[in-house]
Amino acid sequence: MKLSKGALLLLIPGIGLFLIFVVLPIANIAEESFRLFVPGHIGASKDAPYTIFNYAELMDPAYLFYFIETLRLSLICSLLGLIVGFPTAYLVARQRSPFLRKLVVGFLIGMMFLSTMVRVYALQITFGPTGFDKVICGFLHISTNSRFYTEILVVLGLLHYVIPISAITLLGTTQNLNPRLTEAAQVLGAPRWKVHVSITVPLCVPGILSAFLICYTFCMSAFVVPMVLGKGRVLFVSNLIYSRFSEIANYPSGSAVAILMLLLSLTIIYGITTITSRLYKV
Amino acid sequence: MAVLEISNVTKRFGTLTAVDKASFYVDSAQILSLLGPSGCGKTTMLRLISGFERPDEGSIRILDQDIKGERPYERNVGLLFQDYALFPHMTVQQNVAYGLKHRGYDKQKIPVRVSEMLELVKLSGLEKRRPAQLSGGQQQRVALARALAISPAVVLLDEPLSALDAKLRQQLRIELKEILNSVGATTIVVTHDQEEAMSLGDVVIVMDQGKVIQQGLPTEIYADPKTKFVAEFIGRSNWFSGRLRNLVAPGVREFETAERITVLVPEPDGYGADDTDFEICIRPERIHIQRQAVEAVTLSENVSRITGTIRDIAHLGAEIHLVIEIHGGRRITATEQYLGQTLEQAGEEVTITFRPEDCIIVPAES
Amino acid sequence: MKRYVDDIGFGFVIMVIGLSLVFLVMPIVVAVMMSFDGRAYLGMFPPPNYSIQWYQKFFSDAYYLHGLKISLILALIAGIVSTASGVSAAIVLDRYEFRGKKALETFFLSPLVVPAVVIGFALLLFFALFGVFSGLPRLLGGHIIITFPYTVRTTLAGLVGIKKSLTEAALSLGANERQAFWDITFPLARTGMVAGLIFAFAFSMDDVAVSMFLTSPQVYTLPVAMVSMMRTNFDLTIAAGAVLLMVFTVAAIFILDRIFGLDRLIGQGIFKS
Repeated sequence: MKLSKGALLLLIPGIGLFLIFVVLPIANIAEESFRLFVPGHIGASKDAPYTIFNYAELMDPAYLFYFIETLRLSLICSLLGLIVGFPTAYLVARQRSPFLRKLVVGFLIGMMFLSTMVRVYALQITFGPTGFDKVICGFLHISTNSRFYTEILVVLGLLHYVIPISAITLLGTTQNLNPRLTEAAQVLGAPRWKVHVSITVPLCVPGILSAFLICYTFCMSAFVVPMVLGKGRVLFVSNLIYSRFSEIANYPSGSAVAILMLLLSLTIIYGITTITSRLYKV
Repeated sequence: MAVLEISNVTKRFGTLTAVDKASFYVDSAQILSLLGPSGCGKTTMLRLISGFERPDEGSIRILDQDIKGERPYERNVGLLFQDYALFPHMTVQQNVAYGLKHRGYDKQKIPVRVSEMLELVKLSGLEKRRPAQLSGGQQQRVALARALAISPAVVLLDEPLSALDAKLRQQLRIELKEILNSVGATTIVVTHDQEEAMSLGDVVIVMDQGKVIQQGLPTEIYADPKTKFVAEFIGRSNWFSGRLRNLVAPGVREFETAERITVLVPEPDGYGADDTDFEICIRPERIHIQRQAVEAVTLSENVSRITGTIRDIAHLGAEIHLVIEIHGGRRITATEQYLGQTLEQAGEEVTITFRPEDCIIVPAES
Repeated sequence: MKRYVDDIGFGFVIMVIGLSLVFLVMPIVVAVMMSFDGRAYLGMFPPPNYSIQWYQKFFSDAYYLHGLKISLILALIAGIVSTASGVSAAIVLDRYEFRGKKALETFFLSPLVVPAVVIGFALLLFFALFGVFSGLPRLLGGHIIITFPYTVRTTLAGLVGIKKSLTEAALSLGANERQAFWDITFPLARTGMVAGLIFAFAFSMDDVAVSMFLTSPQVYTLPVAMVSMMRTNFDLTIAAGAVLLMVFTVAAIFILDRIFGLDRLIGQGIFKS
């Protein structure tokens, strides 16, 4: 049916909300990012000239480091999440008992829904001084205060959400896989691991890429996890934005980081989506 | 020499016994049809032979080796799935080569073997196509080529013709048999379709509720079923229950039906006392129809004659199906070949006749 | 031999999944147990004795209670507004075809991919432009926006399952579009809408990143309060609060399963992007 007046009316609340709370604010910070920050004031002064200083400043290795850290740890976390999530989704899809399936799915959804607060706090208690940090660090021969351990904690904190979400996302893909295909491959002589390498995984690649995207964008925009578990040493881009705002009211710089982060996210999403549709033109 | 030997195999799923002490064998280069309704255990039998299920009791031997402990990828069995299960992300070439690759076939020789197989199923030239680009019939041939490429000891076909329309089915049935015979494949065809079973199989096994009911040549199964189930499952039938009476000729007895009609039937083998209950089955095509009504039910020259009225007549092209009502309101179906004759009319009085050898007699089931 | 590699591989995968399961569950168990810790200080796990002192502290702490109150109010209002507008948008996206529909759909789902920090920060500056420094309107705006994609997506998933022919049948029998919606579409889509509301409520209660920018000393949410306490005074009262939030989560899942059925939730691809 074509758009009627009534339908347009129904769209107004949504569009209105978005204009007010998304489009305009982002346009505002885009503008702000081109202004010069005058220390001592809050934000840029009203008639400051336009400049690209804020962006140029970010090219400094000290800042680039934040971006690289974020991208690197997000990548590690997403890959680990997929490595755990995919077999889990596969096994759940192949599970014969509906009760068990429902149990596992319910558990995964619960894990996904869990408040970030709870996760972060629970992990801090479990892997911090009151928990198992000495055990684990002793096992890995590192200091409990080392940066490496902090990085591990941050990745674990992200994994706590990434594993359930990747398993749940991949459930749709694995459920659509015809079980006869794995049986056919086995009768033809391939042991199960070869079957999964040559048949299962190649057929699930679009779903895997989609799950990867979800995990990666989540990790990239992570805020609470690095803030609490990173102990101020492992910082993500979102923490950088926050510090621009809370420590010094350098809104222009914060805006520049925010816009850059937004562009980065959109580029990655666009890139992976295009690759997926390009690969699966058939 | 038996290539595949199933001895007393039993498989249970919880409280359900899917296969119940089944035993049969398949000789080299023979095609065996495993026929039965859904739930009879034929699919389970297929999965037992290919290795996806383990039998709880009994043994499965291929080429005189017990394969019970072997995994599917360790067995020398070929499997053609009902939905073909072609790998959608691979070309026809890669699909057919898959088994060869994973069984350690000489890499250099694989392309040659693939072309050989595609030629066998008359699909040469389609190597680079993907399954999605093929028709149903073509997909099936690729699946067949893939299963046969590894020269398995036994080939299992799961309802091979059920997914095709009637015309294609007939054509492919002939080709399938030719292909299987030309490579000398020892084959088991699993199906619920009686026509498929009888036309493809050199030997037919009828299964019901996990048990092997009867094994024999197609004509044997049809003309000489051992139980009511087999007789009913294969072909159409008219049933009468009743008791055997006196002998009227060597091997021919009177049979009094529940409707108090007396007909002539062959004496069953090993027949003892007079009063045992039996059931007789008369195939519709064995009933001869005479267009004038004769007095009543008579038995002369060892032919049973019954008068009746035609209630329904359907001209199905090459066959004519008639429903005739006889004494006591009982209805019988009869089939005639259409050879250009003038057809009977509904309401017409006719006489149906049949000889003793046109009756199949089985023990009444309690 | 083939089967040994096969078995080792399978065993390895099971071990990885098992470890991950332990990893997912253990912190929760630890946190719950510690929230009942009988010691008056934060000591090593496991607790030697148990008490409910931390819960008592939590419920008598005005700081947390105020945050809890604000969180609940926000979740309720934002949830309702978000669901109402999300459902309206979903109806249009489902029933109508027009140019730029895909773009509009992506637009409505965009808050999922825009980093929460960016949204929070942008809203902060934007409100400041108009001289709005009070916490509640800012927080409302932020929460509505971040929950909107969920209500749209779940409602859409629910609507997709409803055959168009049902509405067309109603229209051909004389109903106008509004009647057709209320009589036919609405009852059938109700579960999707309620699921969306629950999602919105849950994600609003949970949010930290956006809220941190938009709170003020007088108006703050429970998660934000807990995070600041975590950085200053890390004690087990927070554990009690965390377990409380967990109870909310479990309740939400239960309700979702009752009305919607967890299998359907997954089967309709709600979690696919």
